Amino acid sequence: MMLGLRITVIALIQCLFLGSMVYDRIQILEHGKTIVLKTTPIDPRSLFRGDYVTLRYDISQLDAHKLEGENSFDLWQKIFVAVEKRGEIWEATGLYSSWPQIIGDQIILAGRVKYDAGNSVWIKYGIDSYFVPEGKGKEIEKAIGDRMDPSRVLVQIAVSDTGKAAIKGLSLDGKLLTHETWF
Amino acid sequence: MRSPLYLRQLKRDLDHWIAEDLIDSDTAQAMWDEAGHSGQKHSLSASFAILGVILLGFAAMSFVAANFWGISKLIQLSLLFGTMGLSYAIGWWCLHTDRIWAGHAAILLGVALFGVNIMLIAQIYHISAHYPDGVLAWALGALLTAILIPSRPALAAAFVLACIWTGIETLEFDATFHWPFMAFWITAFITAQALAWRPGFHLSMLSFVYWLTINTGNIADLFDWEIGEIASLYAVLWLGLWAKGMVIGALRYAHADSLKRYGTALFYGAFFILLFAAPQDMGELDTTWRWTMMALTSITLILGLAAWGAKSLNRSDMIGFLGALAAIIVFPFLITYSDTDQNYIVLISWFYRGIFLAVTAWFLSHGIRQGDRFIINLSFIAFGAEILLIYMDTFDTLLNQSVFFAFGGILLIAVSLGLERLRRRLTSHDHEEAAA
Repeated sequence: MMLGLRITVIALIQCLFLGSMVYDRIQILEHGKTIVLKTTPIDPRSLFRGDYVTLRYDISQLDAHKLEGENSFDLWQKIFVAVEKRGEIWEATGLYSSWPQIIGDQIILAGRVKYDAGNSVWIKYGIDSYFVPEGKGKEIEKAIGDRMDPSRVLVQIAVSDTGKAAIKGLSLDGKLLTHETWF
Repeated sequence: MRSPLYLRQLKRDLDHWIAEDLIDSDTAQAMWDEAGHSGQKHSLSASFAILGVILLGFAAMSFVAANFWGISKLIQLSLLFGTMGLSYAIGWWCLHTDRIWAGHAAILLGVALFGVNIMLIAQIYHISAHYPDGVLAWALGALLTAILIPSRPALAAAFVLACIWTGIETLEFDATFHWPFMAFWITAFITAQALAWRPGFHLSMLSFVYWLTINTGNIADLFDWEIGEIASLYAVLWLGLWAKGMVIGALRYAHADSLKRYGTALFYGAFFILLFAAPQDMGELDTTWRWTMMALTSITLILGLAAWGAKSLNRSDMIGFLGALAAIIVFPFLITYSDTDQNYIVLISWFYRGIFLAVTAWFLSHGIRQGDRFIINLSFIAFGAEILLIYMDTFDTLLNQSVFFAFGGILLIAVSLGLERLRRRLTSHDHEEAAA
C-alpha cells in the first residue's frame, strides 16, 4: 500500500473513533430524557483533563436494602439504577444487575459498582466529573461552601434509552451556572 | 547521518591530516563519505526531533488541561482534529521527500495529538467513564500507526501507553488478572520483530516483566499461592527463557544474547525471592500449581536439551542447568512439609543459600566462557547480594562481623592466589610448547 494511503487510513480511523465519541454524546444530549439530580461538588485536578468538579450525587451511594431489586454486587459490575421524580428531584427506587422492567415514569441509569460495603453500594455513572476553566472549580465550591449548603447544587442529566448519561447543565439556587451545547 | 558537530570536527581533522601529509586526499574523501553515510540510525538531529515532539505533546496536554473555555466547542474540535491531520500530512511529506526522522517525529506528534484529542473530547462533553479505556484507545492508535507506517517511535509509544493502561486497570481498578494486555502485547511484540528493532525487543521484554510483576499479587489471590510457590514458578520460567536464548543463539537469532541476559537476571531475582520464602510454611501445594509447574518444567527441560543438542551448552553448563532446575522444583515440596520442625526449616534455608551461591558460580563460569560481561557482572552482584543477606541474617555482633569479614577476606585471597598459580602454570606450559 502506498505511504500516503496508509497515513490517510490511520488518520481516518483515528478521526472516526474521535468522531464516534462526539456523536455518542450529541445523541444523548439531543434525544435523552432529562432528569435533575442532587449533588455535592468536590474539586480535584486531573493530570490529563484540567480542572474539574467531582460530583457526588445522592444516587452515587445507595442503601440497597432500602430499594427494590438486588442488594449484593461485585466490584465494577454493571448496575442499573431506576430513578423516579420526587418533586423537582429524581431519586433512586431500585438497584438491578440487569435491565429491569420499567414501571410508570421510571428512568434507568447505567453505572458500575465502585464499592459494595454491604449496607451501601457506591456507583459510578460516567457523569461524575464536570470540567471547568482553571481555578473555576474552587470558585464554585467556595460559593457553595460559604453558605454551608452544598445540596443547593442541581445537575441536569440527559439519559439515553440504554441508560447512558450525559451532563446537560449545572445550577445553583435555581440559577443555571452552565448549559451544555452540542458544539 | 552523524552528528553535525562530529562531522565539523572530522572535517577539520581531515584537512589537518592532509596538510600534515598523514593521509592523501583520496583517503580523506573516502573517510568523509563513510562518516557522512554511516550511522543513519542514531543521529543527534533525529534524537532532538523526537524529544521536541515529546515536549510538544506535553504542551498540547497542558493546553487541553487549561480548558480553554473562551473558544466554542466546534472551534476547539476543529483545532485539535486539524492539528492532528496536519501532523500526519507533514509526516507523509517528510517521509515522501526522504526526511526520514523528521517524518517519524511528525507521525509521533500525530499519535500524541490523537491521545490529547481523546482527553479533550472527554473534557468538552464531561465524560468520566472508565478512563483506562481512553488510554487503551490511544495505545491502539499508536500500535495501528506503528504497523501501517511502519514507525518505530509510534511502537515505543504504544508499549509505554499499554503499560500505563494495564497499570491503571490492575492497580487502580483491581482487575483480577489483566489478560487483555497479552493480546495487545503479542501484536506489539510481533510488530517489533517485523521491524527488526532492538529497542523494540527490549521494550517488549520490559513491558512483559512489568505486567507479570504487577499481576503477581492477583495470581497469588486467584490461586491462593504463597510467595514460594510463585517465585519457584517464575524461576523455572526465567530459566526456560535463558535456555531459549541458548537455543536461538545457535540459530544466530538477533536477540539471543539479550534473551539470555533477561533470563539470567530474572532467574536470579526469582531465586533470591525464593530464599526469603524459605522460612515460611507454604501449606498444601494445590493441583493447579502442580500442573503449571509440570508444564513449565517440561518446556524448560525441552529447551535445555535443544540447546545441548545444538551444542550451545557444554557439559558443565548442562549440569548447572539441570541442577538449578531440580533445586527449584524440589524446593516447594521440601518446604511444604516443614511446618512442624523449625530446625528443618533453618536447615533447608541454609541449604538453598548454598545452592544459590553454587548457581551464581555456574553462571559466572558460563559468562566467562561465553565472554558475556553482563552475565559476569550480574553474577558478581548476585554473589554480593547473597553474601549481604547471609551477613545480615547471621552476624549480629561486632565480633561475629569481624570473624565473617576476616574469613571471607582470607578465602578470597586464597582463591586469588590459587588462580594466579594456575595461570602461571598454564602460561609457562604454553611458553615451553612454543620454545619446543
